Amino acid sequence: MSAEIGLNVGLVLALLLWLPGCATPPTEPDARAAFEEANDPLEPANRAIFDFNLALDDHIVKPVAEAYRVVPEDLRKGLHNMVVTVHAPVLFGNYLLQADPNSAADTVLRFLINLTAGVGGFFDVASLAGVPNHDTDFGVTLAKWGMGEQFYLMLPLFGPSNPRDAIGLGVDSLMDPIGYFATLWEDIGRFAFEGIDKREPLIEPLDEIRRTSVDYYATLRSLYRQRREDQIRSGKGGANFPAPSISGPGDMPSTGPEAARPVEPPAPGANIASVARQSQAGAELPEGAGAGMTGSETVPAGPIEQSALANEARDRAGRPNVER
Amino acid sequence: MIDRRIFLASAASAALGLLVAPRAGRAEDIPAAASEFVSQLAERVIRILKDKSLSKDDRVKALAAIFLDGFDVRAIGLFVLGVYGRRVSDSERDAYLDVFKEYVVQTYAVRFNSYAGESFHVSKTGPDGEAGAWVTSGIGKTGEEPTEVQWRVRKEQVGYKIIDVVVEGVSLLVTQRSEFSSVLQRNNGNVTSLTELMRDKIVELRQKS
Repeated sequence: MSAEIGLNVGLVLALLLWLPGCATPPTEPDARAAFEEANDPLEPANRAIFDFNLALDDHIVKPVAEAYRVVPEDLRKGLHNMVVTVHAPVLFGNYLLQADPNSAADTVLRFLINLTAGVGGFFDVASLAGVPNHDTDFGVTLAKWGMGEQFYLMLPLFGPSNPRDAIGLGVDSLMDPIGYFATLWEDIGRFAFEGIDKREPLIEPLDEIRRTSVDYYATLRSLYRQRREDQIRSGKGGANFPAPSISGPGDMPSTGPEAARPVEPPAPGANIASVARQSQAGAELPEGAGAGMTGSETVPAGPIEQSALANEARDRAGRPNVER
Repeated sequence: MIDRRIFLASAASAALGLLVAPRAGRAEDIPAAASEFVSQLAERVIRILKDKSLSKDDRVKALAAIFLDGFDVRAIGLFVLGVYGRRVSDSERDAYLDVFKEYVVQTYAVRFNSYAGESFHVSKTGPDGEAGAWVTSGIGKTGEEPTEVQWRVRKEQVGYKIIDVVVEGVSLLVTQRSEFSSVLQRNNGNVTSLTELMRDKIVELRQKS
């Protein structure tokens, strides 16, 4: 993304603050809890922007992404590798800011290997040589510095975001040296191509999610949050997912799957997941639903663990939440 | 004071026990059994996907049966109601659970069907609380980087059951709860309206498939 386009993100953000349709927090306790958990105070405006994005996607972006599939897969893969290679300076800068010298060094090594042996970045020789591909951005950097997501934000064109990640988009574009050399039209061309490159592998997963969900907007909101949270946490472990619990003594807070995860970086490419982040506050197991309920006896429906909800609400109120 | 000291001592030794010998002294190794359970389930799925003699309908039916057998759909269904699950009436809840079962079969179980020719292997397993385990697996097509999928398994009276699936950091349970909470919030917490919405969705999905 170019510097010009990045700066415009700031403009769009400023405009958003003028948009009408800030939701009024409900007073009824359950509705209030759900409202706080969603952490989407601009929901009416966000949904309007989402509808706009969907229309744009249905009529332009997705059809172009589908048409892009006439290009042979190997060529698409090569072009994708070039997009990734060209992005290296931004990754490098962010890893330095995150005080992660190993990933920064990997990024330089990958850049040099792929630029030379990989013929201008077309072939990802570095991955074959065992230098793994990492991904990060300034939104992640801010999160590692302790900034919370603040609240959910649907950006026109860019899609799911939040103030932190929107600032990240802008700063990343300023960190990108190419933005300073390219003309506006070259920037727009690159931005458009990167968009199609991102959209193409998501054609089927997004179709599937849209087809099956009863609230597509809310599903994407949750997916975006969870996915971002995973990116921020990457390699650090310790996600706590809430779960229906087994009633009775011996209930304990659950350990997230991260704890049981091998040290190697997660495999790339789960498409359904590539849209997301959810605040998984340190959840104690809720009482109620659970073992023994698969039988026919009736047990009152399981209330959701209040402390988990309270934690999430607190986190979303803008507290630094990086230490999960 | 003595009580407190004894409590602290026993708590400390319990914590130490968890750290030092998580599996010692247990009648059953839950993580290992859970891993075995998930592997067997995956084998059943792969066997059905490879069986070319099955019609599409039969295959989907068989997959749905495995899904309902392996997942604690009732516990999941109650959990994803979120805060609204507390005040639902018995009849409303039963109607909801019936439709929810059908809905997850139509949405998730059917998804197995598009995973033809998959490989599956468990890479790691570890405890999750007292009676549960996280089973980490790689699922993929041959020649492709496998996708990491984590299964949250719990030992219940009727045997082992899956209560959550986490793909690349995205939890099925958390996602479903967020979606349903949003629908319920927009419908004044009326579970019946969510049930109706799912019912419409099921009809729509059936027509298209």
